[in-house]
Amino acid sequence: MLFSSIPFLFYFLTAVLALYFIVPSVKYKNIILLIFSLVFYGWGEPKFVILMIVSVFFGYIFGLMIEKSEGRKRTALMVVSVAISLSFLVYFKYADFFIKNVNAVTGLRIPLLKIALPIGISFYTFQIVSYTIDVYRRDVAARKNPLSLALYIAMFPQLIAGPIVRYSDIEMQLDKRDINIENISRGIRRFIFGLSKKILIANVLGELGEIFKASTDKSVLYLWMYAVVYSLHIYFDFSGYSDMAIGLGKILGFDFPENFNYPFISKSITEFWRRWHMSLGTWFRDYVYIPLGGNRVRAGRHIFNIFVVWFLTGFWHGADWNFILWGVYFGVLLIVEKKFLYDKLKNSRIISRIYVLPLILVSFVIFSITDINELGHFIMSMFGFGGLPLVSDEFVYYIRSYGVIILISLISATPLVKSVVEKMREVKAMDNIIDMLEVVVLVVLLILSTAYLVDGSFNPFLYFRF
Amino acid sequence: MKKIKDRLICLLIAVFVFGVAIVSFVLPDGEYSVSERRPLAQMPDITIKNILSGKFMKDYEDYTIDQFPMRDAFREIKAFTEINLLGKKDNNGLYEYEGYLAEMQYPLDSDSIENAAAKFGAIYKNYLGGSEGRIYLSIIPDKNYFIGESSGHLCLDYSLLASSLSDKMPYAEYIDIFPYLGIEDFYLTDTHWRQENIVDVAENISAALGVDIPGDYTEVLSDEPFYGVYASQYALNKESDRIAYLTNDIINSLEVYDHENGKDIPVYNTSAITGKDPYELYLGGPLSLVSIKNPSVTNGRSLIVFRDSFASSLMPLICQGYEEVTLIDIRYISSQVISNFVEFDGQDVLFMYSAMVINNSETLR
Repeated sequence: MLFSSIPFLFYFLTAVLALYFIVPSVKYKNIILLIFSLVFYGWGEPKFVILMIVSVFFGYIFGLMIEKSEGRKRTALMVVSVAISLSFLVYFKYADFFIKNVNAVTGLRIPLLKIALPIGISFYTFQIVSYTIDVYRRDVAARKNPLSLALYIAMFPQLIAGPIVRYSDIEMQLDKRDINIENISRGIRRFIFGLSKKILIANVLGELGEIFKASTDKSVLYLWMYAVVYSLHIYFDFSGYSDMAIGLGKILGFDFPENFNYPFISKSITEFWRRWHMSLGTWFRDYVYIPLGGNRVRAGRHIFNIFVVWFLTGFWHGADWNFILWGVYFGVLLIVEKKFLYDKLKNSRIISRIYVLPLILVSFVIFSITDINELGHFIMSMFGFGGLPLVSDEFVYYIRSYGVIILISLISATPLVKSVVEKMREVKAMDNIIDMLEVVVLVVLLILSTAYLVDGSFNPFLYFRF
Repeated sequence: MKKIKDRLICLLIAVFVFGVAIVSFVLPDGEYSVSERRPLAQMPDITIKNILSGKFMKDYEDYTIDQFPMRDAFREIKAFTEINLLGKKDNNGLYEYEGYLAEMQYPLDSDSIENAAAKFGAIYKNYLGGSEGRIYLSIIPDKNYFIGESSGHLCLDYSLLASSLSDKMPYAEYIDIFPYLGIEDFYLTDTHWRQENIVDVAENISAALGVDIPGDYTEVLSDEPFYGVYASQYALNKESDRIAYLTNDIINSLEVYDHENGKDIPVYNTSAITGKDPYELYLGGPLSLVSIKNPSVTNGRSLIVFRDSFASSLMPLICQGYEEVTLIDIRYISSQVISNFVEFDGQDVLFMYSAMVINNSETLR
């Protein structure tokens, strides 16, 4: 089930919230949340609920066993636990990718398994892995109550599109949480902003992206427009989902970690990744990069560590070579920055952005096109080596037609509005007016988002590859 | 103030979300959307099979969207936002220019033209190869041809569409009717042309076919407002038209038979004017096979027309020059089985299609 859907907003959410706030204790609230989370997950592919329950079961059992063990046995149990969790992920997500490549290299004809990818498997697998490793490291105690652990893994707000919540983030809140009007209001506000980002901006930009893909009238500027639009589309879609998840968590009394922080204002690629999909970046840092030795190793090993992390980061996003290329592309840029550019970029606001933005746009082109030959031609054409004209009729039409929404999305991708509002709030009278305006804006945004859903507008789910 | 704000946010959003949920459970489900001219999705069957296959979930989402309280108002809000606030130049491919709603026909689909030519070629080969009758082709421009460029919208190359299809049909003589049409000959909110404005088109086609038609008609203008198919798709309220039809003694004497439903039908079904699609006024609307006998003429001439809905309003005028006219719409009947119903025996043959059907010819069977 998608957050941005009529069944979720008006039927599922109303039912879960009504029951959640009626039942008296956290214990019953957790049971309600778990039941509804399983319904939420099973809504699209009921059979995969079993897979998730099995994964949670292994996580639970291994958590308890690791806690009670010491020495080599403890390490072995942790390794087996991680291997089991990752084996599910590898089988469902990567089996056909490996078979295709083995076939291509060896000339064999091993039939593809054509397995459907369970939605959100990459997110919940990473949560289970982080949980067992944290127990192994003695950062957290193993959860004795299996239902509580299942709730941590399966809780619907963060289940299918993140953020990747660590067990330590919500360990205490699973037993005791602060549910009050202020938090509910803040959660609603965050959820509606996220919903609007997804429906009113991301979906509209996605629609333009689809128009571009179907076009037979491409031009250099049209390609650049697509690169901008696709980058913004992914940002508003993904950060919109994260906002909705964080908002829902807040309504229910949980504090989920932030996932995006205006990444397009970054002055370096290093900073970009501190602002983009932060929960994934910190996951790889804590569970891959640092265990490999991080930067406290000799130079060659350090570069190797960075490559491993970015190869895996790319591969996590999808089982195709373009995603690996996307990850390695960032790995190379980060190494170049660390060795040569970082200090220079820090001191230059304009040049740093002139440097960062085109690189980010190209990265999202790599992310968007799975066919490597087509990708090569696309990037060559962006820089005038594809024999395309500079401008085409379609580009002129669509830049006019979508100009306002592109402008809105560009402004919204920066903290400009937030800064202006905060500045205005410094005046007491304005603060009260803005408070009331905020209420009106939220109601209007919810009505507009509903209108777009009711009209059956373009509403893709981008994370089916994750 | 902050506390008031927090309470207000919780209250207003809860009222909206829970209100919609309660109202949609209380209100009975609708069966048909008059504004969208389509049946509405109904509550899907809750069966184990449907749930395990995911069909129930997909159908349930369609159902909740179709049965959403005040659905038309929400669609209008969306259209207003896109067009008037965000400055989009079209809404779902539709746009308004000087009161006319038109569909952006773009780009030219060469494969679609090829497909249409292949379908017509098969008809020629199977039924018309040895025919002594004359074969014609005519293409009807849509509204985008007249106002697309001037309104700054994308426009396919209509000349190329016509010449491409014509070149692929060397057995047919092309009748060019583009010069006889203008945007004023079309309804404001519908795809179709106005019968009262296409008398010159009928005369030119008849001249090309080699038959005479009288030019005297009485125009009957309906009092009912006519909102065409684009009015509902565009979602924003638009000015209505009034639908009219032309008649005279010959047209009044035409005998029309609907083979699809096996019954005689009137040339003009005036009860359709207040129905779901007022354009069904003309020759019963979208029917696969219709034959029209003209007892007023005894020239031995007969005509077979492969057509789309535009012909429904044109053919009562053309029929005046023939003893018998057969209308075949291969969107509703397979071209492979029409010899079971129609005898091809040297009649004149006219392939007459709108540019939008040629450019979206997957509907031809």
